[in-house]
Amino acid sequence: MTEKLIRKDENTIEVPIGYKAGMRVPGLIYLNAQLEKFLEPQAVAQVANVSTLPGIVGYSLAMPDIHTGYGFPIGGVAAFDLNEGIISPGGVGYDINCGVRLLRSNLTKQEVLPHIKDLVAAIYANVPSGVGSKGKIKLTPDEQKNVVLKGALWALEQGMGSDSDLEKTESEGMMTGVDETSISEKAYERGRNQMGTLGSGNHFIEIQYVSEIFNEKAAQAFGLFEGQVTVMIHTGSRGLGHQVCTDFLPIMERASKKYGIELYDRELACAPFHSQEAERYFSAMKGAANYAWANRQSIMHLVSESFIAALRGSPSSIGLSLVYDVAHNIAKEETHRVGKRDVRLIVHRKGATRAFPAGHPELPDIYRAVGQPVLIPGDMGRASFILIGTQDAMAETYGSTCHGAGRLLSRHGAIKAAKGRQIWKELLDAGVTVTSAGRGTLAEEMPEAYKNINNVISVVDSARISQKVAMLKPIGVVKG
Amino acid sequence: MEGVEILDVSGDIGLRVTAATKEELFVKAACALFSLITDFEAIEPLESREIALSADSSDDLMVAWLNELIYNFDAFGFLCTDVTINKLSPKHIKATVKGETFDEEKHKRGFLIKAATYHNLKLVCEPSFSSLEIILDI
Repeated sequence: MTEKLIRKDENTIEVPIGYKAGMRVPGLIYLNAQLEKFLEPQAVAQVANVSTLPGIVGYSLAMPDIHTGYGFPIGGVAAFDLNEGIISPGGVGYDINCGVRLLRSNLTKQEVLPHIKDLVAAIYANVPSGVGSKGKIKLTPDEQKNVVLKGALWALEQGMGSDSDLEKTESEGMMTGVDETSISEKAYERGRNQMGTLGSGNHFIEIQYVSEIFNEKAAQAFGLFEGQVTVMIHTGSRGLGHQVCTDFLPIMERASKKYGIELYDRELACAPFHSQEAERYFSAMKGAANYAWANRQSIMHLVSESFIAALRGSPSSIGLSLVYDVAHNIAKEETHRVGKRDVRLIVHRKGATRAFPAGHPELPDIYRAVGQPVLIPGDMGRASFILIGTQDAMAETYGSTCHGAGRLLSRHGAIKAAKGRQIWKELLDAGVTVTSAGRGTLAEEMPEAYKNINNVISVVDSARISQKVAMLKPIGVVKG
Repeated sequence: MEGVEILDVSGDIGLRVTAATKEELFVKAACALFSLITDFEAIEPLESREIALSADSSDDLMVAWLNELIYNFDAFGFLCTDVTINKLSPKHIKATVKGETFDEEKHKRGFLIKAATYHNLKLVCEPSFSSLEIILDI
């Protein structure tokens, strides 16, 4: 099938209408020749399938970290007209508002390195992770309602964070318009003991340092300097979000039949945006997104406490503060330019990060002059990146860019490749202290299981759908 | 585990399960799920739970069944080792599941499974042979 793809320029490939039956718009995949070698035919088919959904506007897009997902590909971005279009849980994923939070500190790599073992151990002890772990924060049913209604603000009200954290969080850490009854009792039960927990799989807390700065002005605005220690937190809405997706897939499948929407993949189940089913899903999704923001805000607090304990420093000398927090599995109502008109669209980002440019009204005052910080984690052995959003992203990708390196090996394949090796020791030799709750997680998540993040970043930077600001290298990692 | 094979999929993990009957397929799929979550042999049947589910089709029932077990583990730490199917029709299942609560001192930590998915789902139920291919989101 791949012979029908059309290379448009060095960074983009078009999936033409007709590649698969029923396509309403073409697909567009951001990919250079190097990454094209890894392009899975099933992921391309998923880009095409998304374009069959009613009300899709422009292109069915995919970012350079594309790989096969459920329904939508991972790395998929699609925008739908509010009146003609749909919302689909498959365009958000099971881990609703999985995202990334970046903290900066007043400390340098040299100051932290002597304490790195204690610091990783303190974070591992303070932030429960892995299969079967329970959080230290227990939520009563009333508190859970506040979590899904208020998001990061709930955590602030519990004394975890400061007021300025909200403006440095996408959507200020709270999507409005949540009806708490749209979330099932089962979802609440799964979320009850999981606030302030990391989860497992690809989730992590990483202690890093700024290894290179590419854009001095933006780095300054974000409070970054070379050699500075930063902390990256990657997790989402935990069991509450997973259950919301599980609950709504059959509901949306029945809705697809009811409204006469032909599905090329069951995981694309969807409903017209203004239908009752869609309203219920969107409300529950927003509640789960708020849970995720409360979770990352809580974890930030637990990380701050860990720094104070391990480094025996004062909060002001350590100086941990929020740079930004982004969602990379979410659907949002946004205004975008289509032709000569500004229109409201429902933008699905599944394994894709919002990348709004300087001057965008949704950005906080502190970042409006430079653009939105975009946080892209790499694998635990290489590097992560901070970028900024651009006007080109607004024009081409509904203000979106990539979300990570993208997997190269399957989990099972990675475990096989790691057999007889000590991944923690290999990482330690490379200067990264690692702790993990699950025995298999380190093997599944080892650096060679992922594509080289540098290739992914070079595509989005060269295509100008976001621009490099700084590179971060890991020195300590806590995995689930 | 006999009749259970792990499928290689990017990012997540799949199961191929074969059984002589449909009832056995539901039992084996449940056991295979928990063998991914922990060391299956270490789970003891200390408590029991009743599960009753309905779905729109046999495919949906299998997905709902595994998701119900995932929910029981994620919300309450319930690890299942023994399943008795009390009633099984194309759209309904009633079962008694026995197991115990996850204890990090006793139980190994395996995969954290978010959900059972419909992605590339294949359920075959013949009179003398049943099989399942299912992808689990990690």
